[in-house]
Amino acid sequence: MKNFRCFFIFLFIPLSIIIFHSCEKDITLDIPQPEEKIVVEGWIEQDQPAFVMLSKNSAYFAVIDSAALTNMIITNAVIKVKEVETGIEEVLTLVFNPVTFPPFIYKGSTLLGKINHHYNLSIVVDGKELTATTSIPPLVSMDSVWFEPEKLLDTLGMLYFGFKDPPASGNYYRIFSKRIPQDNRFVPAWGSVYDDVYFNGQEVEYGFLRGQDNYQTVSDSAGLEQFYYKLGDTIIGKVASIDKIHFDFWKSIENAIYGGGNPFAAPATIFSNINGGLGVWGGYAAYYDTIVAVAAP
Amino acid sequence: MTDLKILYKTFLFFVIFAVSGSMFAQERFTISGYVKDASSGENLIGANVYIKDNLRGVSTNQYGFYSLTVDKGAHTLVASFIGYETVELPISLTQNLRKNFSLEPQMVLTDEVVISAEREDKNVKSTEMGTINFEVERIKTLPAFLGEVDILKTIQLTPGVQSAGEGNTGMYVRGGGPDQNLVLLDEAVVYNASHLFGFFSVFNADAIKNVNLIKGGMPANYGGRLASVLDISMKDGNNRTYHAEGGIGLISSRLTIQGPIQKERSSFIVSGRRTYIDVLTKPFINKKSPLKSSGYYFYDLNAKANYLLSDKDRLYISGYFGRDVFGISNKEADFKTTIAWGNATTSLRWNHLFSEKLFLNTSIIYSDYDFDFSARQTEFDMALRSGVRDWNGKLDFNYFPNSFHNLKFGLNYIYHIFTPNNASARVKEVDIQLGDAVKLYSHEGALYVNDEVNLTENFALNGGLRYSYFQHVGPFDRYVIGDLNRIVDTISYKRNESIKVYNHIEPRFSLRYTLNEKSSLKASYTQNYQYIHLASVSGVTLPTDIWVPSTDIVKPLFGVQYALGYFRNFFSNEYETSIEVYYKTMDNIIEFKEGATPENNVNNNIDNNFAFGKGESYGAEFFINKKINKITGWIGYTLSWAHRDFPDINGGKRFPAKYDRRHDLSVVVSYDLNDKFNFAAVFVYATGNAVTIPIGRYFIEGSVINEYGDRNSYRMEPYHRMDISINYLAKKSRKFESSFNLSVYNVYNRANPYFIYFENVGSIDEMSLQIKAKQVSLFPILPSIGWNFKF
Repeated sequence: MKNFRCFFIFLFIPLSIIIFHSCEKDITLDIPQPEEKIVVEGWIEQDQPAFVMLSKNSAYFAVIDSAALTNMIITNAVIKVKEVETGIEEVLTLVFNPVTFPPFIYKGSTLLGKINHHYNLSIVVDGKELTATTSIPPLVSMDSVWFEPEKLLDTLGMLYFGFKDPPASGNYYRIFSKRIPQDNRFVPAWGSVYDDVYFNGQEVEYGFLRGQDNYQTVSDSAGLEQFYYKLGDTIIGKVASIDKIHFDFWKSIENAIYGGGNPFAAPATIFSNINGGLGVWGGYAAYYDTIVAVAAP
Repeated sequence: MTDLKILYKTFLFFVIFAVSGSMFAQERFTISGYVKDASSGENLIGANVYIKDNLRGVSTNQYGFYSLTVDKGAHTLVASFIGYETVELPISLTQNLRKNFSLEPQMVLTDEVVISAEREDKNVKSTEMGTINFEVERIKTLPAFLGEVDILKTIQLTPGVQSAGEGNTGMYVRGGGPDQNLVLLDEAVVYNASHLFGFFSVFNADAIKNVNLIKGGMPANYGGRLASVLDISMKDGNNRTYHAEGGIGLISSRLTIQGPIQKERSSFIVSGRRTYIDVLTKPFINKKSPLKSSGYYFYDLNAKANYLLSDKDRLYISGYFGRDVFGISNKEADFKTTIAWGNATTSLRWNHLFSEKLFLNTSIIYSDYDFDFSARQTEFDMALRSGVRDWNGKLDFNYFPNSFHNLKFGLNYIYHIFTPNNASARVKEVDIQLGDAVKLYSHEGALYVNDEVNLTENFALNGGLRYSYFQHVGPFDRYVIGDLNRIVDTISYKRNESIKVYNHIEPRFSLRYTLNEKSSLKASYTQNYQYIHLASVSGVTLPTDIWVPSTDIVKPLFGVQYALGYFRNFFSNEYETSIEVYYKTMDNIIEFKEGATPENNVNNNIDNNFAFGKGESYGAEFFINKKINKITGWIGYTLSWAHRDFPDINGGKRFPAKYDRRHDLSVVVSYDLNDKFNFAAVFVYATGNAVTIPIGRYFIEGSVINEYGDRNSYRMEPYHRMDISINYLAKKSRKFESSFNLSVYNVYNRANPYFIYFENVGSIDEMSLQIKAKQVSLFPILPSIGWNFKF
């Protein structure tokens, strides 16, 4: 619904290529080297410690092989998280985490996230400091979570959430799921972020397609199955309330991923709340519910 | 209101000034009338009428009318127009005189064309700057892309005008955006002048009489756009005999029928064109293909009639209707999409002569552009509409007090209805709420006065003042955006409630100083306001682009242009040359904010997504034009710069406009070998387009994210291309004419860049990922043939 215009552009381009024989060739672009930047993927959830992954950007045309990947990893950072309301501060510890890229994660221990609290992040790498602030917004509970098979797809279906959006406008959500045992982490849904502009203060039911785990090298499904849940799956649904800047970041990332490759679209602008770097530092107020996918009653 | 007072005082000044010239002079009389084509009865626009002895004269106006006031006594009156035999008429003036001229077209371009007169030095003598007039018949001999004669593409071959891209009819004039061109067809605004990505323009050359482009020194009778006016007049129709003409081309066919309704008094013309790509490709699509009922076509229909009510009154009605239709449907998947867009215009005009000196044209004009999209997939329906609709009324007076002045004044009112984006959807029988249909209503008005005056023998001034008014009225809901980009308030305006008013004075001046018989210096200064804006999502002009009015948030575009030119003719006016330099500033240019998703129109206003900035452009244009003899054509070269400054785009850093083009060269040559054969060639060279490309990348949740470089900081390869054509007149008699046009587009098969895209090679899992840049070109060498007939 939201991408009407992108859809037209997508329609037009193949048309032009069909009607007029087009040709293409490889070219070499003479482009400037980008300034080296630190990329932050950090989050804190209620009742959980903080997690931060750090990496570096690379030149667009640089070959990414194992050596280049190693160069993108940062393991010498000093990372501190401070709870603004209490002033409690904690230094995160580096842990090896082979299931992601970068394969290291900086992790807190005793400082756990609290609803309605704010968290400052400070990262010092090679004398350079990066800072960011986020908040964990109020929790929005789901009234129901269920699986519903698609009419024409038999055993495949989407995951639905039923809830009442709080009356004040400005609620933002990010949706994840984890199938037991197929997934080893919470994977964002396909189109994982939503704001309440279309349903502010209303009772809503929203269905989601399953997202793919970019870290999983071998997929357990193919074709259409990649986007759906299956009858019999055990699924943990997770709906996290996030703040506006956190939402803008993920929205811009998803726009860039889904709209990527369209040569006529304006270049995607990626938002960031990291001062002095790229990426995001975000708080989650997460609601969990575990269900087994059964046919609708 | 003070602005209005200024205008009123200026108007009085102009009138007194204009009339005063005649008050102290000796007894004078006025000769007036129309200049026509003898074979068709069509009025000729811009024909010269002058006194042979002193070369004092005028050009006919848009309706072919002239008025010339001279001293009592014996004179030789001359009427001339390029491509026509010159007529000389001795007169003895003792009273006011009505005299219509009928000029015979020069049937064949003979070896020794009589260089019609000394008056063909308009290039040097007029006060016009940055103005180019095109003869449609000449355009028709030039190479045509896929055989489709295209007026807009020919205009792009002149200096200062740049094409939007490969095969594109969109134009950028002196660093201004495509929305800054006022495109008029019989005075009706054409909002989207192109078909199919801009590959073809909507103007069917068979129906067009005259094309005039003003890119600098815009006179005060035009307004509402910053960059240029493209004033296109449709043929009136032959009021003597019936004629049909048409052509069969590679992708379309055309047919035009014209003739008298009542001989010498009234005539009509109907002209149509339709493409048949869909019909031609149908047999080649597999019958079992699920997409077999998909296709694309466009058509144009022009119609016009005029009626001479009396020798003082003439009525014109003309209309244009054109549409692009694109459909995809797949029965098996129960999927159907239709996209259709197009313009419709109607102009009703009444010419009235109050006296030999005062001419009035009254127009009522309707103009509409809309874009419709509908899609159906099983039980899900959705539709989207956007567009703009105008109701326009105009009064244009033309007053010729004496041969020193040509005074124009008038008023104009337009009621605009904008539909920026109107979506609806339903599942089964249930409507989905996508917000109320959003329409924006506004009133636009203008008053103007303009005088072209010969101050001294060498000095001429074309000066004018335009007062413009714009009001955005309800019903309208303004969503006020607060912190965190959330809507904090909604202000509702009732029907006709005033939301925002703008009014401005726009002075326009151009001066000409004649150095000698062959050369002159010209200078101009213009100020323009523009109250409508085009919001473009992508890098190319697409029918999905949205027109929006000025609102309380979107301030009117404001442009100032300074131009200076040196004009010189050589070899008894056979060669016209000019050098013009210009400097332009533009305020309140709109772009979508970085990262804005303009489709989110629900409970929001589209203009909340805009960023505002300034533009600056400057450059020099060189032009050599040869209009007569066996070899005709021109060379145009432009050296230019166009920048943009937006506080919220590109980190506030200045960046080149999309159409910043350092070098732009066009060479057009046409050669008449004999009565049968004509050869023509076109060569263009342009600096590559400015694009934004990624310079770095990084990982987020395992996905590769691109990091873009500065906006428009990368230049694609230069664009160059040569086209040739051969025109063969197979048969020509009084009754029947048949000709062939063979065109070859992109003769040396240059692979010009259309866009660049990037492909990932390898994968991160294999620990080897590389990105390759690919450049896509659209049109290789493309020959085409067309057959044209006339009877």
